[in-house]
Amino acid sequence: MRGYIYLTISIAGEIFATTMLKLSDGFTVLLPSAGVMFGYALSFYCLSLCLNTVPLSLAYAIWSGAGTALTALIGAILWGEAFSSLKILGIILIIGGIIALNSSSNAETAKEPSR
Amino acid sequence: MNAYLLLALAIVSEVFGSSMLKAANGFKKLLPSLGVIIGYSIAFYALSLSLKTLPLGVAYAIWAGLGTVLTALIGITVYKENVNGKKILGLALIVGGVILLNSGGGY
Repeated sequence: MRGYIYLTISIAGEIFATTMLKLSDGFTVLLPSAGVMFGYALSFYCLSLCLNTVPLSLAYAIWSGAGTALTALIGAILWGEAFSSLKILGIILIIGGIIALNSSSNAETAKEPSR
Repeated sequence: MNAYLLLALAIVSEVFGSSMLKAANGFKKLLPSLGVIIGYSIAFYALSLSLKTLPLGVAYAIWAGLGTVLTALIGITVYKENVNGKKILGLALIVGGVILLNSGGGY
């Protein structure tokens, strides 16, 4: 359970960092630029902690899927980015593809604990 | 510089940076460690520049998707990893999704 809490924090940190990335306007605005570094540092730290208990392929699937979807949502909410059905489908396909690629046999599922 | 060119640069740099990560061996080896730092620095800087023009959601999805594709392709060609149906499906889904995002347009 604790692993999934770390995973959630990791995703939140990454989304925060990516939002700050856009706000930093090419790393020219100070606070958002600092926010980027803080966000990614927190994200990777919590991700490494979560990997102590959560299987790698599952953690990565949730992390990249949720991260991509939530980033698109933030883009729509904060910047009013278009939310057409073609765009939603495109993002769903990309998330599906990322999960498929990272769950194939070369992923480190050998460390998965039995359920 | 064109936003898509910047995005492409960000993708390639990130894949380069993460491929150096393993060779850096916990940052004990100098050259790969420098490769990690340079790769990721260029990646995030180029990404931030592309975000001046591109929508956040679209840019991020393409960055994550094509980055995964490039990593998989390098695995298959350079590290001789096997090609299976799931990988081909994954690659097709991502490429399809990126094409949809670019045709859905409106930005």
